[in-house]
Amino acid sequence: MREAVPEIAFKGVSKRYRSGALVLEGITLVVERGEFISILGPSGCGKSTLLRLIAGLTPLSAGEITVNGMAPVNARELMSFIFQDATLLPWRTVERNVGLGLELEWATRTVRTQKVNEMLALVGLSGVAKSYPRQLSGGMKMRVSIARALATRPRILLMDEPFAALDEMTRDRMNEELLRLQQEHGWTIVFVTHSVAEAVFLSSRVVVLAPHPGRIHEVVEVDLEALRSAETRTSQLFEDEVSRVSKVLRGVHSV
Amino acid sequence: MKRHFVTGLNALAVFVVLVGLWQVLVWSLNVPPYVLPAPLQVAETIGARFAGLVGSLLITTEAAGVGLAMSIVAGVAIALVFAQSPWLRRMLYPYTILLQTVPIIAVAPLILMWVGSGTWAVTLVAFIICLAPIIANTTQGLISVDRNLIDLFLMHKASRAQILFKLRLPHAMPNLFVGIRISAGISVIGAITGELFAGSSRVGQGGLGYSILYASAQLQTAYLFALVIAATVLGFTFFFLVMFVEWYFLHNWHESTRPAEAE
Repeated sequence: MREAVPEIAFKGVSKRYRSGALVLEGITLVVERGEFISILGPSGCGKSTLLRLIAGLTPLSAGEITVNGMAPVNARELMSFIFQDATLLPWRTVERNVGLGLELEWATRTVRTQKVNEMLALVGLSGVAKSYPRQLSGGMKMRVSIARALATRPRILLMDEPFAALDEMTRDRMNEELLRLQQEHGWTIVFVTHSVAEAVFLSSRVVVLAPHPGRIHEVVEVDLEALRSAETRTSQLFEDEVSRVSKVLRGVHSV
Repeated sequence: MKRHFVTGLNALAVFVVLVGLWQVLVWSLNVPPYVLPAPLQVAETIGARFAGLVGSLLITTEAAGVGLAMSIVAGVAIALVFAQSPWLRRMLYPYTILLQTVPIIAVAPLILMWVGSGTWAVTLVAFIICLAPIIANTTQGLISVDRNLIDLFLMHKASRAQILFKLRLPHAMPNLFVGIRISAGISVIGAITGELFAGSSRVGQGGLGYSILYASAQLQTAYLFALVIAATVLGFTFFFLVMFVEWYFLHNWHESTRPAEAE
C-alpha cells in the first residue's frame, strides 16, 4: 500500500522578507488530514506568515511546503483562508458575500443559491441573508466570513486569529461550534491564535513558536477527549492543560 | 426632521434679511442701477428676460453636463489603467497633477484656437477641468484595497479582471463620487470660462459666459446679476444631482451616506 500523502508538510522552511529580516527559520512540521492544530506564540514570531505560506500567498525563501503533495498555489481549491477581520465586501449583501467564492470559481447560479442557503443555515444566519455587513454585529460578520469560506467545500481551513476581535462569550460559543463542525466534516484546520485557552480547547496539538527568528519551540500534544464541550472549559483537566501549555509559552521568553 | 425644518427656516430668514437690507440700501443711498441694481429690479429683469436666461442656462448646462460625463468615462478608464501598473502610474501621474495645476483660463484661448469656437470647444474646456479630480480620486480608491481582500480573491483563483471589476472598482465607488462632486462644481466654471472666449455659436444666443460678457459690456447690470444667479443655481443643481445619485448607489453600504446619529 502506498504511504499516505501528508495533508500539509513543511520541510526545513525559512522565510526572509525582502528587507532581509529572517521571519521563519527551519520549520519542519507535518499536519495530518483531519487534524486541528494551533499555532501559538508571542507577536512577531511569524504565525501569520506561516499560514500565508501554506496558502501560497507569499513565497518561501528556503525549504519546501506541500499541501496534499502539491505546491500550495496548486492546492488552493482544497483550502479556504479565514482572516482576523471578517473581510466582507461592504457593498454586497450577506448572501452575495457568502456566494463570492463560488462566483469567482464560476459556479452556476442554481448551485450558488443552493450552497449559499445551506451555508447560511449552517452558521445560523438565514434570517439576515439580505442584510448588508454594516448592519451585523462582529460575531455575525465572522459567521458570514466562515460561511463564505465553507461554501467552496474546502478540506483545509487556514484561520488567522479569526475570533480575536470578538467578546469572550461570543468567542467561546464560536469555538464550540467550530469544533463541532470540524468533527462532523473532518476538516484539517490550522488555527493561529495568541490565546492559550483557545488553542488548548480547540486543538489536538499546539505548535509553540519562538520569535526572532520564528522557529518551532515545542509541539505540545493536548491531552483532552476529542469531543469537547462548554463543560470542558471548567474541568480540572482543561485547567491543567492550559497551565502546561502556558509554561511552555513562558519558556519561549526565558530562552 | 423638525430640526432640519428649523435650520431651513433660519437660513431663509438670513436670506430675507440680507436681501431686504440690500434693497433698503440701494433705495436710501440712491445707487445708480448700473452700479448696483436693487433686488426687486433683478427680479423684474429675470421675469422680463426669462426666455433668454433659460436659453443661456440650457446651453451652458449642456456643455458642462456633457463635459462632466465625458470626464467621468475617460477619468475612470485612465484610473483603471493606472491601477494595473505602479510603473505606469508613476510615469503618468505627474501629468495628471499638471492637468490640475495649469490655469484653465490661460489654456482656454489655445483650445479655442485649435478646435474652433462653438459648443464643442466649450465642452472640451469643461472636460479638461473636470478630468484630474476624477482620475486622482478613482485611482486612489482602486489601489487602496485591503491586502487581505486581494488575498481572499487569490485564494479563489480570481483573475486580474475579476479582482478589478468585482473588488477594486466597487471599492473605489465612494472615491469616484468624491471626484464627481468636485468636478460637478467646476464643470460649470469650466463651461462659463470656455464661453467667455468662445462667444456664441448660435445667432443672438449664447451660454451664460457669453451672456455675462455681453451684459457687462452693455452695462446691463441687473441682467448680469440674473446670469450670476442662474450660474449659481446650475452649480447647486449639479451638486445635488450628484449627491442624489451617490446616495442612490451607496446608501446601503457606505458610511458617508449614513444619516447622522441623533444627538
